Amino acid sequence: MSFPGNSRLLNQISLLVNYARNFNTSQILNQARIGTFMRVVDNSALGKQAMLDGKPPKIIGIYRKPRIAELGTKVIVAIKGQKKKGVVVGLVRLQKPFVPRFDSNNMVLMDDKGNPLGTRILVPIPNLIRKETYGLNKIIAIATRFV
Amino acid sequence: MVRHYNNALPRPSTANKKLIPILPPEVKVKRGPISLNKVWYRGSSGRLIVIGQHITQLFKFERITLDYHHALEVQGYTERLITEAMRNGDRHIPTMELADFYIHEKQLVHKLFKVLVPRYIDYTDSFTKLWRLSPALSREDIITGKVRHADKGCLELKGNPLPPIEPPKYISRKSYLTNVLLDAAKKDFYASKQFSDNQTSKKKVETSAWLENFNSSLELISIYRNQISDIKHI
Amino acid sequence: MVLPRVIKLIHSYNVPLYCQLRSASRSWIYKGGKGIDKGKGFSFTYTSTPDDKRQIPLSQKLIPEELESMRLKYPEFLPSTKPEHRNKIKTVLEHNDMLQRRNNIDIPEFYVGSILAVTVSDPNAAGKISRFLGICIFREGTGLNSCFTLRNIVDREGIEIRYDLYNPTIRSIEVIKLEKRLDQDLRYLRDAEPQYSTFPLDMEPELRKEGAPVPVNPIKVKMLPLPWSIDWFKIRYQHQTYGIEKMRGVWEYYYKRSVHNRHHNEYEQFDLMKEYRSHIPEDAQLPIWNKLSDYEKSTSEIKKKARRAKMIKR
Repeated sequence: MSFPGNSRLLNQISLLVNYARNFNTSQILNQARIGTFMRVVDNSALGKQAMLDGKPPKIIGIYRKPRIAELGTKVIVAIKGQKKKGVVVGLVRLQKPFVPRFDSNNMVLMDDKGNPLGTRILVPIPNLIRKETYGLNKIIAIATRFV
Repeated sequence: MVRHYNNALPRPSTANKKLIPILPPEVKVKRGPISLNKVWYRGSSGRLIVIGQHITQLFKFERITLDYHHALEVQGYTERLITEAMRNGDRHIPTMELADFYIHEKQLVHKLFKVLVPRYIDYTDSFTKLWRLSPALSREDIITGKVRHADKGCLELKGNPLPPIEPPKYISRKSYLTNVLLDAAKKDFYASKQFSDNQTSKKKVETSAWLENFNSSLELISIYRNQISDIKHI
Repeated sequence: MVLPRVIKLIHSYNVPLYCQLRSASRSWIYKGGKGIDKGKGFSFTYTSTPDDKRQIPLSQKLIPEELESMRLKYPEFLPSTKPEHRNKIKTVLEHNDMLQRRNNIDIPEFYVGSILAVTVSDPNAAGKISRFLGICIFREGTGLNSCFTLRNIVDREGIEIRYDLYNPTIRSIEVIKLEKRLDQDLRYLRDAEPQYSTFPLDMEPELRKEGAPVPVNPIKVKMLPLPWSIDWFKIRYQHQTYGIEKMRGVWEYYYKRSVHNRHHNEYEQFDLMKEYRSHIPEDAQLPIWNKLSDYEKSTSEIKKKARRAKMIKR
């Protein structure tokens, strides 16, 4: 029995306790839901501080039905005791063909109106987000590289 | 219970490591592996050890009785083992490891490579034969009160020195005593002077002389037949 | 005496369930599933039929030496390993479509561990074209469903993209470095040090002789410290990963733990029938390679000229 990288505590406990086979956990779903931790990817001050302190942002709400976050969905996030909006820009889950899969769940912080807090995005972004229906032109303007 | 959705390898990759021949139609391979319900081993690793025990006994005695469904699995493993030994030979290391794993006695490994492989080199059919036996009980099992509802099977290697299970379908009658004597009489007649002299003469004379010889041989046959009726039919 | 005649009529006209009488059996409804004829060609059991009897003895190899390497070059032409998912008509139609697509595009020979660059026409991208370069991690699927994933680390972020081989939106597939590795699955690179999966996006293709054999790269990859996303140790003993460097102390603990598990088989490499069920036998492979070799001979000259034209352009 092994646990993914998200639950480090449980991994360490299982190493000590040899016969602990009956941990009841929820299903491991390859999804970004309410409660997942994200990695901030722009150069905003809030995001940088949060990642350095070891308190990454956590999803509180998702503007989508069903409540599963996919690339380009808007999301409410809790950082350092504050509520902020953001956009999901990269996911660890397996995707359809021609859509990239990242090694970390990435997101970009923004205001209620859609203005991003940072001035530059340091990480490549999928081309899906360029769709006009998503309305993320301001974030496209900041981005450096597309995949 | 923890289930690994993220960690499962969802789609298997095509494993084309080897070229394997297709098993002939006499061998019945089911879609999935058959579990040998034994109590002393746990899991799929023990199952292979049990199959190895059956294979060693097969190579030793060349005919064994098993549960029918167990024999179905053992049949497939033996055929694959022998084809690998035929193709790769004696010095190939992975085949030596396979033979070492499945065969628990060292003498039989030599038997595989030196006796069975040259026996089956020209075969296009299967090397083994599976017979289906009834679930009838023996006297000992009835006394002890054993109950058996499953069929038994008899697995044997082809070309074995034991007497065959099934009698041959066509019995040639050349070896019968009457036919042996008739053939001998024919030979003597055609080699004799009477035949060569009578060839020039008329047909009627030939037939009469030939008939006389034939009738005399029939008398001999009737004598022997009376003697044969005393003896039991072979 | 009336009832049995009525039942016979129902059986003949395939009346639905609600018209069924009490005494009628339901087996005729489910007959369609077993009675469908999926065609001959590939055996739908794991053994041959009496019609396809073998004429060459089993000790000799059926496939000649020239065609032995074809099953590594074109693994997507083989049918699926499960006989339930096979269909002769589907494979014939798929093979025709695949060969037609290969007339338009040069789909080269590549293996897991070789570096590729793929250009795709994307309606959302700037200039409608996007290019990605990476190492081939994994290869899966049969027929037109065949895919491969490429991995690369760009700006300190690991990216993996899955591509369909026979998708018409692909403009070109270039092989930059032809290589093989010791494994068929390189997904453990996700938890390895990043130096093993970084490749510059401007890499130039490597020149290679046409008839030379494919080199094997015997790298042993160093892994990052635990925890990992997937338990690669278990996969080692099931699928035999040879490309990971052994770590002190951790290896033995995980091995012992997995042995107590009932579902672990430590003698899996000796399991002959499991191997047989996951492979496709020689007799089914031969007709495919014969067809492909005819196709190769007819198009080899055209492709040689196209390749020379490309080299001269550079």
